[in-house]
Amino acid sequence: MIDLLLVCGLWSLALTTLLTPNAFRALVFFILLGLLLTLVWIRLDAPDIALAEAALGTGITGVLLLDTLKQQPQHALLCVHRTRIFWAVFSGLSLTLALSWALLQAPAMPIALDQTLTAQLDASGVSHPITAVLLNFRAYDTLLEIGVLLLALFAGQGLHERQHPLEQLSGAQLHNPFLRASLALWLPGMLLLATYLLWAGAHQPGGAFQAGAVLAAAFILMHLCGLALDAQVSQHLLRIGVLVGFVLFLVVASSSMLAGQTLLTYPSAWAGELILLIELALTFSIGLILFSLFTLNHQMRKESA
Amino acid sequence: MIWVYSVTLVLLLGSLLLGLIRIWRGPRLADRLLGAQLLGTTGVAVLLILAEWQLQPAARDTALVLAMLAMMLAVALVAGRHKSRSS
Repeated sequence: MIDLLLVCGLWSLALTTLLTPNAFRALVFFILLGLLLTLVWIRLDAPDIALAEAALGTGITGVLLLDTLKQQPQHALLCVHRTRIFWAVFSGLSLTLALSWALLQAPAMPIALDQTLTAQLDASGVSHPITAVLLNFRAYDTLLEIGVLLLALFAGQGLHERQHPLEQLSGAQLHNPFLRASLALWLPGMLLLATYLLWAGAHQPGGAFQAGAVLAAAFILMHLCGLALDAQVSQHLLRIGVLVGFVLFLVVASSSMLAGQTLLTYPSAWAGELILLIELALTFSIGLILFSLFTLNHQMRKESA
Repeated sequence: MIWVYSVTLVLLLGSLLLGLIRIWRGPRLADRLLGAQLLGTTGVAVLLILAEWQLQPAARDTALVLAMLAMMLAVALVAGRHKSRSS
């Protein structure tokens, strides 16, 4: 019953988001789509994805979209083209067909992966299977993922070449009582939550990506309230912060090759500590990367204005 | 005990629907924004119910994240308003 309601809600919200002419209404409906997706992931017993969706969907995507919307003229109306809807329906249907075909063609699993994972879990250094897969057994994928995030940031900075003269810490926003109160109330909580998610990743759903998203939201909150981080610390420090996750991960990954082992083998005695160290650096870097992507958008807006 | 969860869920879904109507009709930005905030709070409640129902403690963490971040939208809107008014 509840699943049926959720699916119907997803469909109608997605359609409304696509078809509504009012841009702000579409934005709010899109955020609600993310909220409903979180509920769906919980129903499907995938709390790790639900956490990531909740953090990214409500904390970052919504704010980023709202910030972009503000550079449009007042009461921007989205023109809904018929051809665009046709292509959306067409590509959606073909994706569904391709996926169902792949599902039908799926070969019988030669190795029971879940049993192998449970058997090897003790050797990984953490007790949550998803963290074990992400940071030990399939760490290569995670290494490439953080590389992709860095590439996205570099591409964004390449598009926006000219460096801005740094604004001094204005503090003008702090006169607004709502902003001051929300900064004082939520910033400590967000930092605490990010730390908690990072620490929880070792034995229950959570981990570097979720914690990084919450950290990025905390940075964005500071930025919106007038405490601009890029005016407080130097650009070099920011760059080091952005890179530290990837570099540390790469150093740990390749140092095992000195001992004649393959890439990304942790010494099993310190696996847990190494994973925690990598996750700490990753959280910090992911937070800074997402925040820098947000400020890029912000700066471009100022330039065009 | 299950029926308590079901009844609560139905009530919460009603609240979701009311919020949706408010967001649809507007008419001002603030109305839509408050509707979205109401839905965020309702989402937290639904997640907490699901955590009990499905014996999924991680849903509580998700509810915590949602409760922490749902106000970001309001902050973004107010910050933009304030800046444009002062400049």
